[in-house]
Amino acid sequence: MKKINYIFFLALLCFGLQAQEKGDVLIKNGTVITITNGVLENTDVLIKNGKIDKIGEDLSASDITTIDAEGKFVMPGIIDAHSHIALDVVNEATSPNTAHVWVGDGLNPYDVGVYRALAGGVTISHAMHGSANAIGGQCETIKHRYGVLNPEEMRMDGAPRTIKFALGENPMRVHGERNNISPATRMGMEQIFRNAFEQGKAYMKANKDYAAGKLDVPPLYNLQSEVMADILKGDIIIHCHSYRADEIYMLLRVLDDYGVKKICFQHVNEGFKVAPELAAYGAHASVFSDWWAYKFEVYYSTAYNATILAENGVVTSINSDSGELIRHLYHEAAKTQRYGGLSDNEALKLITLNPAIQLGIDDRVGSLEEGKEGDVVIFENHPLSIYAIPQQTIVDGIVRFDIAEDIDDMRLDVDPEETVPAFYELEEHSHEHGEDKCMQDVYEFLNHKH
Amino acid sequence: MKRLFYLAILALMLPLAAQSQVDYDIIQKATNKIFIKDVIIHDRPGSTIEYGSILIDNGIIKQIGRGIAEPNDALILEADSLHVYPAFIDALSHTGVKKKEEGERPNIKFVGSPPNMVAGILPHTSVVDQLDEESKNISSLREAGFGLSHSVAEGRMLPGQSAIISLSGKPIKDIVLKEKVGMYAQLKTSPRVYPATMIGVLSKFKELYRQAEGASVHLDKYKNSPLGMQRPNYDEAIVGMIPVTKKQQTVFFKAKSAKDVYRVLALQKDLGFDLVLSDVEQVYPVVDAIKSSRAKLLLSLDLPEKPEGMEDEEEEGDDEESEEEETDTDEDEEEEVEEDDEETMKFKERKIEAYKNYVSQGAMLEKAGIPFSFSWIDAKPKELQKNIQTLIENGLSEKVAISALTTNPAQVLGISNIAGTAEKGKLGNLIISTKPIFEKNSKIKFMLVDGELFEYKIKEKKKKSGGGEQMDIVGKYSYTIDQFDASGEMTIEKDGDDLKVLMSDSEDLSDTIEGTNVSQDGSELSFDLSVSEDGFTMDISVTVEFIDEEFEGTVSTQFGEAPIEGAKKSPKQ
Repeated sequence: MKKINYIFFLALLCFGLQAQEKGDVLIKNGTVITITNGVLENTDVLIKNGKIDKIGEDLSASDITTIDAEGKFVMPGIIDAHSHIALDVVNEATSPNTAHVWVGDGLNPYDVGVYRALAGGVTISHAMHGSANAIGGQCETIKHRYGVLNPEEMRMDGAPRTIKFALGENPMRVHGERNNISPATRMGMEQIFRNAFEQGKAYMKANKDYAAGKLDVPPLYNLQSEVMADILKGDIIIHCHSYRADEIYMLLRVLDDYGVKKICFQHVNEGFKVAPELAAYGAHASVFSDWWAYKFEVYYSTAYNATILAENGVVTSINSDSGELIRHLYHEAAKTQRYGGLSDNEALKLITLNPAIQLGIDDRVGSLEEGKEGDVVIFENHPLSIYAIPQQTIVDGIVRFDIAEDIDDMRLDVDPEETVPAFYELEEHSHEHGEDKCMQDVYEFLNHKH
Repeated sequence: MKRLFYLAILALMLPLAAQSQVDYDIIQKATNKIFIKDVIIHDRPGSTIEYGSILIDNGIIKQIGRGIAEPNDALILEADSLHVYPAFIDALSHTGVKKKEEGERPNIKFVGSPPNMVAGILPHTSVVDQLDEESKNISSLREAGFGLSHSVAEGRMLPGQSAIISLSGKPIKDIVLKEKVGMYAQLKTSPRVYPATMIGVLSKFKELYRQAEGASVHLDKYKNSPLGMQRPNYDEAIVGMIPVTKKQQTVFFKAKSAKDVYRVLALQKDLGFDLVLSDVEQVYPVVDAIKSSRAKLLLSLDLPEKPEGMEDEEEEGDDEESEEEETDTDEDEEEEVEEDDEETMKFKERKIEAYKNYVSQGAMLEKAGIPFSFSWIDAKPKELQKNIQTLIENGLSEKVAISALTTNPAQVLGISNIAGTAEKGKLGNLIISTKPIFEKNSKIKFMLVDGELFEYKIKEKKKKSGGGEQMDIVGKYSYTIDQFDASGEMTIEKDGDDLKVLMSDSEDLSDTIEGTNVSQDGSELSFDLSVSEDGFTMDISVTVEFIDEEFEGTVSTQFGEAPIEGAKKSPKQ
């Protein structure tokens, strides 16, 4: 029987779910943590065609998967504003500015890390380019539809475009130290941004002149300039890898000079030092709960960082930047109650509504409201309890993780010539270097200096 | 060994005339016509002409069918009752391409904008400039039944334009059938320069394409009225891409995995070029997507190795035997060789399941009604026939297999009017095989390519010992070569993982020479001997097959060949 279940489940994953993108499900009698409308006891959530149709008592619907959530906690799917799962490529580390590349071209729906994230209640992640370059590639907001085979189906359609920027040591090391080109210093870093924005401005002007008939031929198409122009137009949200307060403030000044408003600082370990300035600019912050001192520029931080930022009015989230941390972001959020005493709702906002705001998708996800998308996680025990265990994770009304059906081998793609069942060393090698995943694909570069 | 040398020369030089073999080489020099009579002609997929004849003149089929009068000025091929097929067309490979030597890397200051040559962005170049008619895979591919190859350069993202070459082995100027057939593209990165990652390749491709579109407009405008206009001055790679943007040239985009297929399809959807998905190894998850995209498809003939644990299913007889053996051993031992744990078993099951998916892909495509051709970038010519047979064993029909090797590639490559079927006026590129081509033990006896005739020796298959396992043949044997009136000793020794063969003549058993290129395949052993005497060297190659403790085979030299046989010496001897 076990084997039949196994085969059935796999078949379901491989074929059943692919055809049906959006599902219907009725979650009965749970303690519903809405984030935007308090906690509702003994409440049902009805998801129809992938969207939350109704939240209320004694809901019913015929011909629908029903989940009994009595004694369980129902909350919006967790959103990770900084991750590198489901990506075949993280860093195109060949230039201080690679605005032209896009990790969305390298999505890997077969990454079992997506399933692991689902097991941690995470339904959406921000798949980011790495931090090797001052201006890295464009990122992609993905839905954890584990089971789809087409990379295109991982995208959260309609989510705003985002791009990775990076300050400090990583780009300086990759370009300054390795190739002896700018940026070798933090001063050089600022100039990279200013030059890139000037480039975008000039490109926009040339195209405008052509459109106005002032030029016979259009300027030569340049993908990098196109993207810089789109940032200037406000079409792309910047997510910037950052640690030190001085350079965070530097970027704010640069952006202000160019009228760029959409900025979310990532890591931002010294954000607590410039929290009022961030709030005044409308900048967001996405932080680790309590991880620092893994390199010189991030020597100084505090576990109170998230709380201080949030209390100062900065839209703040807690992220993983790791295939491991992503499995327990609810614990990471809970740490803000130990360090800072945030309320349950404030703490949970850090992993739901706030990251949704930072990705520009808060009108669709991040809280349980009628009309929003059916991304839900059901917990045994309160999600901020140390005993919390996700039971089911639902994306667009489809159960993508169920602890009762959690078979050992969840791989979607099997290589018939594979000899070793699992090889974690490479996958996790970033931790050997005491680094975040942001520098994936870069070590090869650093090892070959000549 | 002196005696063997002279005997061999004597024995082999004299009776050339007495041999029954026809020396087609000599006759071919005298006429351009070749007449093949009384053969079974599989002129196109699913069609046969029983006992028809074919007349080829200067490499072109002049007449084909029944009742063709035998010309008196043609080479008559002795092919009675053999099977004739149009020669296969390889839809994409590196056939005939010179191996690139990795030269010293130039020192590049800005790795973000390397020269096109270093980045591997060469749409303006052609594979023709990299051809080498001496290339070994031309002859080995021909031996596997192919007459034409669609050849692409090795390289990175855009290795250049492809060409169709004839596998006749003639000089380069004579083998290029068609140039600029298509643009070859891959998701292959450039080490440590842009594009160093797959996302870099995709972004560069998009940019280059858009730039070529712009350049094309500019060039046209400038051509019409250059007065006062900025002079077009574009990078050679941008100009090289223009025919692709104008759909004058198809992109043959290599996409090995299902993921890559999706990526290339997304790219095509974005830009709109004509696409042939090329050398796809993993098709089964993307059959529907390929079908709805209407992209053309080249399926790779590189199949995965059969995972362990699968042989058992096929050779049930052997299995039973080994089970019996197991019951004989005592119980303790049996526990040690106990079955895999559940996790390992499931792991193996999934590997087998995946393997089955791969080998059933031909059948899946046939069922889905997606026409495809075969390519073999990462396979070896020697595996091709075997791998096609594997696809057929797993549900692909022979008719569709033939189409994938003849009419479909001809169509994709735009040469249907001259190749792909055996019909009047088309290229006389033909396979002549002993049996229907995909039947087990069917052998290719002749290949006709561009008017050249190639004959292949057919080794009579003896009963093989054990399913491909290496037979233990180490020992001392006596041998005789009757035709030379020679005899002596052959000693086979283990030499690490390899074998060492020593041959001596009965006149002086201590005077041995060592065989080179020793190789064993199951019960078959082959090696070469080089005997020098009075400044003259004779190269002898020996191939023998062992049955129990005896062997027989042939020795061949530049003068001809002779049978050899022998038996193991008893330890006393």
